Amino acid sequence: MSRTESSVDHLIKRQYEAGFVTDIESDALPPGLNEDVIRFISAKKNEPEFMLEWRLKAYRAWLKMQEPRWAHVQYEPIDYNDIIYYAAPKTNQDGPKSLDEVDPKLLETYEKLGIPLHERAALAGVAVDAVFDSVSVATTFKEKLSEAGVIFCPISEAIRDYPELVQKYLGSVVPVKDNFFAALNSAVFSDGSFVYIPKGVRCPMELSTYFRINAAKTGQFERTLIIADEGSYVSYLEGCTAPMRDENQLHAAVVELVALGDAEIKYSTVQNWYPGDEEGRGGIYNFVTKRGLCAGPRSKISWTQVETGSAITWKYPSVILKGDDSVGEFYSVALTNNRQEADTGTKMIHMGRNTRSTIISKGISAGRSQNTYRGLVRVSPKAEGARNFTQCDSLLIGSECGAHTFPYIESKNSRAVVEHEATTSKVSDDQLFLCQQRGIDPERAVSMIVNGFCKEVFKELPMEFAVEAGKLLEVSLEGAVG
Amino acid sequence: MNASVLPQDALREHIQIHGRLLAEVPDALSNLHQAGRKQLQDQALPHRRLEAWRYTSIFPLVEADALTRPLEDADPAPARVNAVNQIVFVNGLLSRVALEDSGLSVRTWAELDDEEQTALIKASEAAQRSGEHPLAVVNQALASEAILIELDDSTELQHPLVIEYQCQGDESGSAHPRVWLQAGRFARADVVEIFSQQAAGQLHNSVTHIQLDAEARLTHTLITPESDGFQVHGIHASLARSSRLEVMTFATGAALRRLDLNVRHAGEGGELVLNGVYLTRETRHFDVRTVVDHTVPHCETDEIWRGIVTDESRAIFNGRIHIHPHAQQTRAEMNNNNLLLSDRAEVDTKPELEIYADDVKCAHGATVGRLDDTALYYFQTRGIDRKTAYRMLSAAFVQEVIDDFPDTPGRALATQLADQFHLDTSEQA
Repeated sequence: MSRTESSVDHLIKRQYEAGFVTDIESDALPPGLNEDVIRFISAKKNEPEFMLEWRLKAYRAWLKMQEPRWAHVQYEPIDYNDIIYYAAPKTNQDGPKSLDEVDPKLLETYEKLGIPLHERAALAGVAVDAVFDSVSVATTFKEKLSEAGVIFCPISEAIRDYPELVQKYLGSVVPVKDNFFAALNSAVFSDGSFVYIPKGVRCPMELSTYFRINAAKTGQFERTLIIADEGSYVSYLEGCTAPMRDENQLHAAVVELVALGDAEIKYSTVQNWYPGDEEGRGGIYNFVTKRGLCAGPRSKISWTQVETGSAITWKYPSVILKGDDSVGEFYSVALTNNRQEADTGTKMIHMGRNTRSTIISKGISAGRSQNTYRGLVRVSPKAEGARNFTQCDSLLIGSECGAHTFPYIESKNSRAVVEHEATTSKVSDDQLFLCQQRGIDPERAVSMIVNGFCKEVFKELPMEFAVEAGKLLEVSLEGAVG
Repeated sequence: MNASVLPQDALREHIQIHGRLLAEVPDALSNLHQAGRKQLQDQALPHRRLEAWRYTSIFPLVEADALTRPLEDADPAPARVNAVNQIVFVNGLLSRVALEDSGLSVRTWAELDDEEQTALIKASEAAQRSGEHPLAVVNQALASEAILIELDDSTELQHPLVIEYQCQGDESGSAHPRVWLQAGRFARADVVEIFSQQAAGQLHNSVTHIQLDAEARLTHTLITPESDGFQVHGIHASLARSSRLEVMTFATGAALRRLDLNVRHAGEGGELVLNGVYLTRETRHFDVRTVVDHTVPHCETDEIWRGIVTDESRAIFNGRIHIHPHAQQTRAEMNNNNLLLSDRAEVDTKPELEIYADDVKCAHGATVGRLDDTALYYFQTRGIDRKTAYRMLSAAFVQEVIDDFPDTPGRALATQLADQFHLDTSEQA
């Protein structure tokens, strides 16, 4: 028993492994937000006039909006004038053209995280559009993609090079006034990824972006826009880690997906931002708006997420099922430990006929954390034959944590079928005892049980992500079992 | 009404007008009113941005000016069911009390001494404090009658106690009867609350406080027939150690109907059954919100709600089970199943779990769907016409729950009302 205790003690005091700061001189603005800051960001990016106007419109709308308070999370009020809205790592004026030109310190950062960019890119055949702070610095496999006609570039580049696509789709799924954080993002977003898959093209490789928040006090406002034209397919991977910080950092990203007729987008996320220390100090505020539009018939959007990081998570990847026979999926594992708070879930808006959606959500709370599932399934009067199945299960580890479920079901069509089920339980003593009888120590046993609990979601992840996610869960849970 | 005034502000104004009318003739209830008015000051009145009122607009209530005045005094109609133990309210005022079983007593507010009154006011305030029961506070501020029903320790009631609330006349206005029901240790009783119709523009806003002492067992059946008026009813129940409460609801639609059923497990080993059936049609509205608080370990809650929603009606189910820290070894289950039988109807359901203890077993489920086509077809292949099949299938869907109602006049009435509903709606099949 004492051995277990000491190992638990050791694990509780374990530091965040990805917590280190890479020292790269930032070209940063002073903290604060006003129209000049927006003009500066826009000018810095050489944006066309329409973008500046769009940003200013969002900013003016944001000023009139109130920060939402309905989520089941508690945090210190955010001073939006104490945030740096632009920070770019200093690079050669022209930017690196290949991996060799990338600042070695950047590469070092990725190495510390165990995801060496070049190796990973070469081995896994993944094109990585790495967002380091606010400017994309390395883009690989571009040629191979451009052969297929796929556009995969930083969104700042897309704004300059493909203004007609950006103008048509940016803000079409998440309008600038959608919510407080989306409006803020629209006003000040610094960079992000842009993907366009042409008609009938199956993207030859999985696209991947690694986000890192680096310079202190830098709000990170990514903007991602993925457009899958008719009959195309793309799988997009997003993963994040962040260095250790004492002050809370705000992260308000917006991700928009558009799937036209017969197109399919698979969006996978592994999120492991700094969750704060045992007392919840520091840690990232993750207020993200993710939404997909199944615009055409038989289109499909699938969200898979593994959320283990961030002090506060506020995230509802949603699908608007507009096209007939379109499909929306949401697979989620959210793990909270120590003082973390997560309020996450999804929205499935059924508008087209015979639209289908599946929601599988697994919440694990440990320590003194709060884990909330909040989901909406809405069937509009025209969504004849719509079908939804929702399952959300919670697992509690420790007597001081909380697990909550707030599903909203609104049905206006008699030919629709909506099903929801949820359970809450703890890792049972019987299960633990059985494992221990077989010589498996409690830590390992819990990790096994949790992995089994999450299996349905993990099997939706791309292979290399699934391995990473399993490992991440194991690491995040260490110290939670006593 | 001025269009720029928010409904909740208009409602507040209406309550003040009503309050002034009451204050003109001070009576025994004045202290109750005063305490209610005071609590009302810092309460938000219902509006769509309050989570608990997300799906129900109070605008029709404001438009009808129902809250500005009390309902006129009126003669009682014959009771809906004949019972040995009977209490009848007419337009919110106590009209008839006939109790034959021993161990059961009823006292009006005027008959209570100061100490008892203070204790009851305090208990109400505590139950209403969360800010989630604004209409219960309105009931207190405008109470038209308040009574205390007591069941002595170890009393086993031979016959059910039937409380009937009638609304007479067709003038608009509102009635706010309030009942405290206290069951002593080891007491056993069946209680039925039957509501009547309201005329358009009438509001019946009642509150029943139920307190079960240790080992008490109570069944409480609610019957709400269809109505053109507004009906709001709140139950605030508290369960002491090893007590058992069954609240069985049979509900239909009204111009606006809202039930707030709140139960608190305050002693270990408590058991709660909170089941209900709702059948809505035409343009009627039904909204039920149940909140169950588990504040102590070793308690159980079972909740099953079934609804059939047709025509242009709307039904809302919002169930919440809240497991407080240290309420270990809790078992709680909640289920809500809906048949949505028309494309102009709407079902909104929100089964919530809020859990702060780890050694618990909790589950909830919700479904919205329609009658199974293959089942309908099967009936037809056996020579049973579509209408009959439709009626049998929808009856089976809810009768399961009604059959579990305690054997009181409430169950018979619920079955009768449900049969009529199935007969009428199957005509459209």
